[in-house]
Amino acid sequence: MQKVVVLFSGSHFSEGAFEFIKKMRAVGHLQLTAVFLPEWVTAYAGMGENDETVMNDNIARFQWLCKQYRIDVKVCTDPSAHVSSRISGESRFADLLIAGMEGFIKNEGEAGRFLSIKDLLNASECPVLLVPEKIYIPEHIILSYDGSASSVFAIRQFAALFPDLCKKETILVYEGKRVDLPFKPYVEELTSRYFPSMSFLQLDPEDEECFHSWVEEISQPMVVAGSFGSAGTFSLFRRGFITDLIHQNQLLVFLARK
Amino acid sequence: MKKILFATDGKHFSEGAFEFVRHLNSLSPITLTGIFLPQVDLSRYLNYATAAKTGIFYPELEEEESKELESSIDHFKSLCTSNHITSESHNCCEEQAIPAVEAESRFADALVIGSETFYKNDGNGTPNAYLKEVLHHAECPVLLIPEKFKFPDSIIFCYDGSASAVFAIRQFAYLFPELTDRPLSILYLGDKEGELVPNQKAVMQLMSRCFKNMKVLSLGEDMKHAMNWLRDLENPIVVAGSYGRSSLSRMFSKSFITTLIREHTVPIFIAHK
Repeated sequence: MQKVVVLFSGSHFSEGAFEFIKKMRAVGHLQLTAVFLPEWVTAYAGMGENDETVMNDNIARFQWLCKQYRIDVKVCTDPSAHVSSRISGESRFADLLIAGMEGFIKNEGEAGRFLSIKDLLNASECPVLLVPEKIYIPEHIILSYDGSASSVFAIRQFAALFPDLCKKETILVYEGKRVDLPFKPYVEELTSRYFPSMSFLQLDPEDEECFHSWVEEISQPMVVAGSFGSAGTFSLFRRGFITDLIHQNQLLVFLARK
Repeated sequence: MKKILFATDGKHFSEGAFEFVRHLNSLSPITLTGIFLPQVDLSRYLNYATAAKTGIFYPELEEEESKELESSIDHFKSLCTSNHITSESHNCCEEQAIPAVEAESRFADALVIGSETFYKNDGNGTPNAYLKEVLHHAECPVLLIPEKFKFPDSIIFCYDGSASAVFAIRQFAYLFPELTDRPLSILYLGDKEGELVPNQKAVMQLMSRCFKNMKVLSLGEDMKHAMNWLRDLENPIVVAGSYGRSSLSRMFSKSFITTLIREHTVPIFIAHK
């Protein structure tokens, strides 16, 4: 049994997040907490009347759906607490935080509006799973690896949380223009313990287009990555790249920060 | 299959740590990697900048030390064979101890160390400087095992409300699901006995998903009382968050863990983010 926090941002109700929870519930018991965040999260200007009504409707709908599918849920709606402390407070006591990516990235360009993925990752104290609106069962696992502690930590946490998904076909991608696979014997040994169907792919970090088209060819992928944007993380998996990947390809993305 | 590291400085083989590993393997098969570290680690005396400029000279092992090391590796291999443990050994004697542990631990599930024997010759307090460095740099959870112990029948979770403490118990549950049928005590060390435990409901809910038998105990700053309570427990293992890192929120928790390491009475599981 896992303890899962699902995060809804503002007036956006993530169908994808609920669908994923339904699938998790179908294979095992869940302890679920739903956190509904106000839309203006950075400046914290408070909610307008309309926003509040939409959020309340979303909460009611979510509770109704959970009841329909016999999912026990605790709903947190305290608008007075600071957003990051609400996220860290709830995720500290959870195995996984699930968020519908559209609520976080679709309007990221709007100054101060919506929580960015980076803010979400910084606040979360457990791994984060970003889900697209159109949910699917992962058929391929893509491990993004750069030799850093963070990328290895993400792989280990993914294996601990989703042992069944480790049986899927798995591809470890790494930057290979300037360096060989970092810590080659170690990572080969680590992945062989968890992923029975494993292959390695070397990529040119300067050719993002190539990677995007490659990903598009992969059926139903789930990307596993360490914290992006941190010092030492190589360019292929820099913050913008992962954000673009999420945005363009509408993939399931598992992120864990060490 | 879990990958466990067994670290020794080559001279001081820990029979206690190996015994713990043997028990783990009997619960669920593991892959064991023995890492044999240099007896004198020059990285303690030379900083990285100096090392990069000058290039560290590693003295060749004296013949006697070499024999001790070989004998230690042979002993390890023989114990693994007789206990049906899949194993390999890495002789890291030509590397710096701490970077070697750091690299190995990044890819392992847990690191097991004999807390009494590790760099015993350092003689610079307990835990000694090497052990503190390993605890600081290890990238996977560390198990500190005394020479005389009984395999855990109960689990003590040292909880101070911090992210680090909760991270530690989560990692423990992921790594050792075979041990979650043991009773769990959530020990909070506050300013006074009976003090309110931070986020008690949340931590109990999180624990309840894998531990069926648990209780919460809030003790005050009376170290003697806390130690006596611990001694009365049947074969516990202590689970704690960051040790030697600034994020440890309560100094008393830190001194409690330090005392436990110094007394070598119980196995300790330490994990930090």
